[in-house]
Parts: sequence; C-alpha cells; structure tokens
Amino acid sequence: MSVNVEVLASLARIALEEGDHEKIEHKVNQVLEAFNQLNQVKTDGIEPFFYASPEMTLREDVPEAPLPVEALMKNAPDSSDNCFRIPKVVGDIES
Amino acid sequence: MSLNAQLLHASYKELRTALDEKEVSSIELTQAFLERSKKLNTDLNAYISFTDDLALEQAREADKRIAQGEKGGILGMPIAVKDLILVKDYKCTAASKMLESFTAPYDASVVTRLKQAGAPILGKTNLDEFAMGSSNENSYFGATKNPWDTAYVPGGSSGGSGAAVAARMAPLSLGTDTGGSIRQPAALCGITGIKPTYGRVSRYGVVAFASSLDQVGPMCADALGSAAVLESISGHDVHDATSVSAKVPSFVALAEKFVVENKIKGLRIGLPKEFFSEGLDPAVDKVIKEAVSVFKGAGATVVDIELPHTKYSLATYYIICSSECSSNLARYDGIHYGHRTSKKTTNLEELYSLSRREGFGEEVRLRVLLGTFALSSGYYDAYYRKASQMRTLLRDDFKKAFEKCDLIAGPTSPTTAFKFGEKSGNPIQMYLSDVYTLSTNLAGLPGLSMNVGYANKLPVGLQLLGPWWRDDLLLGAAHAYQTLQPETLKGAML
Repeated sequence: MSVNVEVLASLARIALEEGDHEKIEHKVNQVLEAFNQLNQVKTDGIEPFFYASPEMTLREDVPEAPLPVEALMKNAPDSSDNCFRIPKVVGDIES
Repeated sequence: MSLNAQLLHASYKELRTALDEKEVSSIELTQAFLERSKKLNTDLNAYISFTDDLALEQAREADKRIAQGEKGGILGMPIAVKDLILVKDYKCTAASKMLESFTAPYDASVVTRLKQAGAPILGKTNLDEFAMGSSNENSYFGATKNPWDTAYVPGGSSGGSGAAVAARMAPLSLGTDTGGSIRQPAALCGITGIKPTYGRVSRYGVVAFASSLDQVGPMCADALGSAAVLESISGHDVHDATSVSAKVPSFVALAEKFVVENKIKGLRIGLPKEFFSEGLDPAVDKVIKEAVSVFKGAGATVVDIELPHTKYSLATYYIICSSECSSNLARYDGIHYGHRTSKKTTNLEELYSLSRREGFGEEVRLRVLLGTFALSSGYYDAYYRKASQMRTLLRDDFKKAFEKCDLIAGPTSPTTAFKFGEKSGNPIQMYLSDVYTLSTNLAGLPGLSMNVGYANKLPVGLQLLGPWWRDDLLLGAAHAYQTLQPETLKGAML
C-alpha cells in the first residue's frame, strides 16, 4: 500500500517543501511495512487497552484562579491588548 | 582530596550524610556542580540552559532548612531537569525550534515537588525533539555526546539527563520515558534510571508526547538516589486525572530494608527468551548473564519465562505513540505560542502549515504524519484499534509472566552506545534500539535500568521489570546489586 503524501500533509497541516515528498514517502512506507506485521495476529474479540492507569480521579468542580493572562500572552508570536494577532484572513469587502 | 573531587565520586548516601552532618553546604555543592557543568558542557552539550539564579536561591533556602535540623530526602541536592518539563519563568524548548523562545508560565507539578523537597534546579537538559528519538541526534540544539566516548550517542530521548549524571555534572536528574527514554540513555551512559508505574507521577506541566505512555522518572548514579527522587515527586495530583491516589511508600527505606533483610534470597527472576534472541550483541549478552549470576550467587532463583508477543511491541508502540503525538502536537499552530512563519501568508491554513513545517524537525514531522495516517478515516480500525488490542495481549503476557516470577531481567538495549549517524538514516533501525523497553510503557509497568559492566569499552545496562506498583522491588533489587558490585557506579570524565 502506498500513501498519498499530499493528502496526509494537508490533513496534518504541514507544508511540503522541495524534496520532502520523496523523503516522507520512503520513510512512511518503511514504517508502514513494519506496522503491517500486526496482521499476523488475530485480535477478533479482544478488548482494546487504551490507558494504563487503574483509576481516573476527577477533581471537585470548583473554579480555580486562572494563570495571569499577561504571562500567557507573553508566549504568543504576535498579540495586542491581550488578544492574539493573526494575518488578515478575509478579503476586502467589495462595494 | 579537594571538596570537589570528593563530591564528584560520592554516592547518594555519602552526599546525604555530608549535607546532614554539615560537612558541605547546599550552596557549595550547587556552585561546584554548576561550575563543572559549564566547563564540560562545551564538549558534551548535556544542558540546553542553566538556571543559576534559581539554583542558588534554592540552595540558600535549603541550607536554612538544614541549619534548622531538617534532614534526608533530596534536601539541598542539586538536580538537572529535562527541558521537556516546565520550570516557571525559565525557557522550556523541548529541544525544538517550535518552542525555542517559549517561557514556562507555571511549574510542572514535579517541579513544584522538587522545590518543596529543597532540591536546587541546576538547568534544563538536552533531549531528542519533543522526546522523539533514541540518540539525541534529533535535538534542534545539537546532540549531547556520550561522556564515556564523545564519538558515541548518549541514547535518548533523555540523553542530556543521562550524560549529565554520568559525567557528574549533576548528582541527580529528571527524565521522561515514553518507550524507553529514561532506561535506554541510563544504560548507554552507565547510570541508574527508573520509569515508574504509569500513574505514579504527575504529568502536569510536562510537554505531552504520547499521554497514555509518558511518565517522568529519576536518573542517578545509584538506586538509592533514584529512590529518593521518586519518593519526592510521586503521588496524586489534582491536575493529572491519571495520577493515582495510592499512598507513596518510602522508597529509600524500603530499598535499604531489602538489603538488610536479604530479600534477594529466594527472589524469582524471570528471563524472557525473547529478550535474548536475534539482534542482541553477544558482548552485551555476556555482561547481562554475569549480572544475573550475581543475583543467583546472592540466593535468587532464575526461571525461564515467555513474553510471546514481544516481537509485535515495536509496531504496536509506534502506531500508538504516533497517533497520540499527532493529536498532542496539533496545538502548535503558530498562533497561541511557539514558532510562527515569517513568510507572507494569505489564509490561516497556510499560516499553520508553514509554521509547523518550519518549527518541527524531520522525525517529529514523520511521526505526526504517521499518526495522522493511523487515525484517519478508513484506517483507524486497521491501525490504532488493532494496536490497542495488541496492547491487551502484551499486557496479558506480563500478567502471566508475573505468576512465575517476582521480577523480570534482561538487557535494556540490544547494543552498547552507537556512533553518531550510524542509525539516523533508517527509522526502523533506530526504533530497534528500544525493542526491550517499549512493551513496559504499553503495559504501564515500572522498569529500571542500571549499569552492570562494560562491553566494547562502553557501559551495559541491565533492565529490571516489576509488577504494577512494585517500583520498590526494582529499587531494592538494584540497591542490593550495587551493594555487591559498587564498582559499577563509577562516573565518566573524572
């Protein structure tokens, strides 16, 4: 089976640059070949095991003081008045 | 011998005594380790950054507590922290360009606990980007080198934490282990490291890679030091729903009791035939068998066991970890935090895609793509669900094995440290370096690696695996071995 690298990269929101396609295709196929080894094992009727923790404890639903907004916004690549700034994403409104 | 030289060779117990008896102060220790670390870091690249101000402030505070009569634990003992774990107000890069300028807005729960325990944090150690790798070659900041021979990798992903302890740039360190990332570098660097039972330690404030597998754990020259750190960082945390509420035992006291009461006698050690098969370096095999005979000589019995699904652990692991990774790393969008492309973009999708292409390294992109594939419509059942069913079979292998033995022993890694570039072209070859450690994380079991000798002039790690929540048994057995074989505790570049 071969993988459609363009579709995959688009789903993962990772741009492809020159040379990426061949490299990714080669490595993904190498790994998928190893993944397909699992087809040798019958797993019909076996319960999947998703989490190793024996218990999941929920905390009381009591609001806690949030982290200061300023401290969090410091890590934003671009911000203004504690809002995230992004490039313009809508076109000019035509009159 | 100068203060420095004495400290560099000291075991956990000797350092503890020196602090408790006020033969040395925490500030002297902290300064000595910072000085040595900075000198060696030019060569080894074990640290990405240092946190001097924090370390010195904590050391002064620790000295006050010691002066007031407080003792034990890791009070006053410097520690290095993997740069995947948040330390408030300091950079946390995950060794990625994506987080190159990210400053932690809060402390990870394990860091809060280190601070409460009084362990000065020396700095942030190097790793494979987002903890994805087995050689440290995937770090955006350049690889850490193995202190035993700088032409060789230190292992990964916690290679910086491993090398720092091996070269005595820190007496203690924290790593994280998703598929062997504490144990494999501990083996390749000749030290002790433990991946605790899943749920033992909080993951809050640790950059997520594969949430159902990730666990923070200690690295130290010896088992007692590892026990002391584990005791300090374990326990329920309201911020991590998978951390368990069970009482935290005193791991140091239990390990010492194990030796005093000679609990090696009658201990049943299981050797899985699958861990001694094709691919294992005969020189490693020989050292491992000698280590097992030390246990035998002390009264343990050795039983042959089977873990029949081991050969499927690699595929199972990489499907699950890639799937969880693609989901966890979806948060890096170039908007909220992390790298944003400087190229002109005309829509949001382009902004996300370019920022992620530029911010993530090659291995991280590969895993995100693999995970995206495994979770995509039409493939979910064939990959993610299938792997989760395999996980049940792997877990049940261990359940059956522990009916026949008390703990499992084998090599941590099939080879000693390898040279830079030796495996970086082929992902499967690199993944095979963790072939004996992966199934532990899939099952959620505790696993420990300790140095048991040398082959090819490089350290060899013995892995011990225990039943769920028996971290104490692994530490006890390791402490017993190290009491009998203290020469396996020596450091590098001394």
